[in-house]
Amino acid sequence: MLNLHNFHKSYSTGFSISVDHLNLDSGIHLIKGANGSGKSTLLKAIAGIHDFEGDIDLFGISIKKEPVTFRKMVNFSEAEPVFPEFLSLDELIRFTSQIIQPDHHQVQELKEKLGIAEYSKNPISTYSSGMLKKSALLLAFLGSPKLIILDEPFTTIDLATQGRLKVLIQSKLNQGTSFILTSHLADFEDLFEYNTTLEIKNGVLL
Amino acid sequence: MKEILIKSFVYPFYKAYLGFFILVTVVLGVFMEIKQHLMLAEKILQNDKWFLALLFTFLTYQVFQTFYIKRLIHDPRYRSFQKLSFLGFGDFIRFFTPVWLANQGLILLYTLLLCYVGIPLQAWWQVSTLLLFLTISFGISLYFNFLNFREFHPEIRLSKNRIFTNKPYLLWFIFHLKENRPLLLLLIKALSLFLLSGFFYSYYSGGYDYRWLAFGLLVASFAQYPIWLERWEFGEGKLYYFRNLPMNFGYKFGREFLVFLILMLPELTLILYQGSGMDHKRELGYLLVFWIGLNPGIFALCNWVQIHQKFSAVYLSFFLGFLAIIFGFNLAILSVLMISAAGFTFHSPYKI
Repeated sequence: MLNLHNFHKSYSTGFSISVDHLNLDSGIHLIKGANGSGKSTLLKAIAGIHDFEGDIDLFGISIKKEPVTFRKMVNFSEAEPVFPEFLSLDELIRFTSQIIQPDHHQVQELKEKLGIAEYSKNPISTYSSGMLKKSALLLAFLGSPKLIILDEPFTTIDLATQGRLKVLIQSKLNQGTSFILTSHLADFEDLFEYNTTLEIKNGVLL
Repeated sequence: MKEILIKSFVYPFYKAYLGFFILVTVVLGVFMEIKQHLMLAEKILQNDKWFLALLFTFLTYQVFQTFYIKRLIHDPRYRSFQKLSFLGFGDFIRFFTPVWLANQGLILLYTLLLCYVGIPLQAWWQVSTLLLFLTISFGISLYFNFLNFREFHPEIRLSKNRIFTNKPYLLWFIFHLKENRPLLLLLIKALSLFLLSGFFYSYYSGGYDYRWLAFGLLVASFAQYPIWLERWEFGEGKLYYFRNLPMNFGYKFGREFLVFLILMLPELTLILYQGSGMDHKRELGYLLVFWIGLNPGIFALCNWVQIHQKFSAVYLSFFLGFLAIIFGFNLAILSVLMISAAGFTFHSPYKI
């Protein structure tokens, strides 16, 4: 499904991450690693947010050669989401929906599943970290992506939402959507039956 | 402690109003010579109305500065500084005086100039009033900030906008400027309109052809640089998540071009209004097309400069633009070139 070829990303700080070759089949994959190990950098590159050297392809579609087609297949939720603070979640949903055109009832369904109440009308600046995380998760599930990347999806959200998110991931997985997840939670490895468990240490995939 | 306070309360102040300080530096440092500064200082000290206007300007600056510090104190990221409320006012003054002095640098420098000019002129009343004004404002400003540290305020948060309940993408950057850089937007637009009016005024006074106006547009467009720098930072920061969305070039560029047009509207209106008296309407058309191309071009330049960290490219571009105008290069072709440069910038899938 997902292939990385001669992937390399470096920063002016001296930190770099390299992956010679990586092939992930359809399913659910876990990437582990300490803070600052390079997990988020790798995920952002796969999501088409960061530029990098080398190439990444999903079902044979290269992000370098067909960036728009590639992005149509990948959705992403950040560990610490950042959005313009004067917009509401509803405005973010409307903007995203104009581009990816999700199913009519999907937004309401996701709002219920993720426990997003009336606050979606209020500006982002009024959200707690949990509300902000739920907003990013909702956007990541919008549309019909083939791959959903969730960076630290279970941190900052309440226990009830954690349970509902687990069910949501499992149901999407059963419908054929693949996932790449990261987490720091100790019991995270037992939450799903992962096809692959990878570990990143100091920018190197072990 | 001094360094921490300077980093936390001085750097953010200058960074937040960078555009204003760049403008002041350009106007006072580039467009005015020492002789003109001395003449202006003499005029201020000899004319009561001018002197009062100066005091009012200083007061406005002080109010902005004091309220900016208040905003910082209420920022959740500055909660650790609440511990300064444990200090007595005397200790607070000792810690916060360097911050006040650094933030008032511009005013203090100008006061020194006025003292330098005023003492030989024996303008004792003006000089002593000025020094008394600064001493009182120092005390009031620091006491106001001291009270702000002592009182725990709720966080300042944005309330729901009742007019724009659904803000289209075209307005996002304008809202960003309104919420975070209102002064930058207002001052740059005011300067830009002031410059263009000046160029039109001198054009109608005679002795210039329309290349003079084209040069005026070039100058006014470079004055917009801080706005486009802000747009670049907005794209790299708060919008970067949206790079993940599958947007094709035509959609992205069309949308951004409309944002450019909205922000260029005040100057476009002025050009149309002032240019209505021009003899050759074709030249007015060229000027309008040139202005429409200039701002996307400046944004493309800003993007390139930020990525490659080659700040000298700004001066070089201005000089090349100046030469192209002087040698009568077709303004419409220049405009197309600049719009193409912006198009190339947005062509990157990593640019939003």
